[in-house]
Amino acid sequence: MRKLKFKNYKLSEKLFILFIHIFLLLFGVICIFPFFNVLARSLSPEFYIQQGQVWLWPIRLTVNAYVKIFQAMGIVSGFKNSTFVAIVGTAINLIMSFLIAYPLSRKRLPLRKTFIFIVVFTMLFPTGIIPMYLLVKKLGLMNSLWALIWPYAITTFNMIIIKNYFQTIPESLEESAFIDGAGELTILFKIFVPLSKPVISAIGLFYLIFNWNIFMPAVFFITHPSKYTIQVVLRDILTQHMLEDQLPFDQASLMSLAGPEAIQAAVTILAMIPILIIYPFIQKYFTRGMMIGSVKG
Amino acid sequence: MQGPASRFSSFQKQFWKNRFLFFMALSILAWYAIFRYIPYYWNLIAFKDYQYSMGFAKSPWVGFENFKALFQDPFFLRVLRNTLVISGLKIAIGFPFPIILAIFLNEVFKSAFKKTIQTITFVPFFISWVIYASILFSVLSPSVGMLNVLISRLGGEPIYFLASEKWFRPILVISDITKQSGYFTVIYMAALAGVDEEIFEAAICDGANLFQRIWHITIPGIAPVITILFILRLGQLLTVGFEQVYILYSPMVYDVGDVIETFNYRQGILGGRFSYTTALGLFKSSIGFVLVIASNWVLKKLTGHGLW
Repeated sequence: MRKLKFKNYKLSEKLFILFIHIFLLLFGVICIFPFFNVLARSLSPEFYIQQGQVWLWPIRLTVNAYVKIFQAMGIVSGFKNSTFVAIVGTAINLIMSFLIAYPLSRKRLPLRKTFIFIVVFTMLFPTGIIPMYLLVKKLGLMNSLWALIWPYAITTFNMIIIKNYFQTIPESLEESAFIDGAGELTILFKIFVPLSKPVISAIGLFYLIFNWNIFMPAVFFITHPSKYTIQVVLRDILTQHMLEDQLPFDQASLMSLAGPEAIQAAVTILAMIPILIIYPFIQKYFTRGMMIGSVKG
Repeated sequence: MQGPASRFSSFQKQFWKNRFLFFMALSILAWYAIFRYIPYYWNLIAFKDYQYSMGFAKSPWVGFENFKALFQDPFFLRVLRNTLVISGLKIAIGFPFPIILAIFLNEVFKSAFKKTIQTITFVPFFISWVIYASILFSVLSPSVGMLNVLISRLGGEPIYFLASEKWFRPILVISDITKQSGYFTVIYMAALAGVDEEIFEAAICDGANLFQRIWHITIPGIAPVITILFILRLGQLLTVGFEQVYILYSPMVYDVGDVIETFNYRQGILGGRFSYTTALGLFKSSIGFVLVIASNWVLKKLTGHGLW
């Protein structure tokens, strides 16, 4: 701990510290306030939202907007599709990343330098989205959820972090496993993966969030509403909404309990919940995983 | 000394011993070949007049025609200008902001306050732009947005922020800061955690004041990370972020807010101009590539830190 106490600071330093606290507090409030506003909206009747009365606390608490969501088929299937992409996608992400990170981390791999160059080059020179679109079309993946999984099966940056961590595992470990008759796959999944838990947890969470949030490919590759992910469903709600903003007030929707504003807020909250559930784990693993992974081997 | 023949056979032996490892790598490189290198190859349609019905092979070569068309297109020039201005503003304001946040957080005594601020500012990074845009609408909407309700209460005229040419760019820059800076702050804080506490203590003993400590210890402590993130950021100069602009913009603000990525989407996917937009994408990727290589080279000469 730092030995200097606040009372020992000079006046100019004290004023600066005070400024720092006010600045941070203000920024924190600006960041968090809209979230509470949306939460309060999702739990309030439409009328009060339209009147501009809902701030940080719901007025006349109601879960009507949430009930309405589950009656809307589009939204339910959006959640189903997103869940599929998140779970299946992340499993594929991790397995494929292991299968390439492990060989690349071993000095005994023939042509190792060439392979690393091939892989790293894809980070420096991004793939154009139009050629990717044509490829997805050619592979017959248009309007399939697999179009959101296969083209993004490996994020090279994440894979390199796993590889760097694997590199810190001494070769003597695999040598003794070889003597016991273990194959490469056994060594990878029984020794390397369990030894790298913190890094893999961090990367796994990153993949999970990437897959849940995936949006641009969903806009490009999926046009059929039954295959929409929740992010695209929310886009539709928002864009219809923007048009409504320019229309005169519609009395009927104003008086009904759950109107467009409340429903938009409720979908927003629900789409956020998976992120909020895993957020504590991100905080736990992120810093640690990142620090270990960035050590160059 | 080994002769060339025995060296060759030792490579063979080495290869045979590690053949499973080699094929494991090769099987995943097949994925790279299909999903990264085939699209690289298909970038060549930028030099063709590609028709989807004719396919890649039968479409005729046209040389640099698509690039010429690109740089003579007033819409592209507008889009390029918007991209550079918005991205420039994001770098000028958005890049230093998390550095300042990290320096400030480092001077906070109460760890509960520090943790709370870090937690609050870190969350939005993990939320998709669509969700974040929905939250922004609830603040900015002209009829029911909280900011506009406040403005009306104070007697002002409501502002339609997202349809205003004056406000659209500031909204992009500010929302980028409130959504993304927490993440980079955490990276800088992690780098600062690696700075030895004893250096701070020694500086205090030597009578260095708060500002001297920030200037001589905190900033040099995160300088290597700043350099690396800056190189990566510069490589993204022509990337404004498709998702943010796409979800927030509308034809009313195309003049100030339409950027390369959204233009590419409308022309390529909605308009079917594949050769034209591939030329645009190739231009964008090449600039990014050159910027990363060049800025890495320059910064390594200047500071000694770089990506490789």
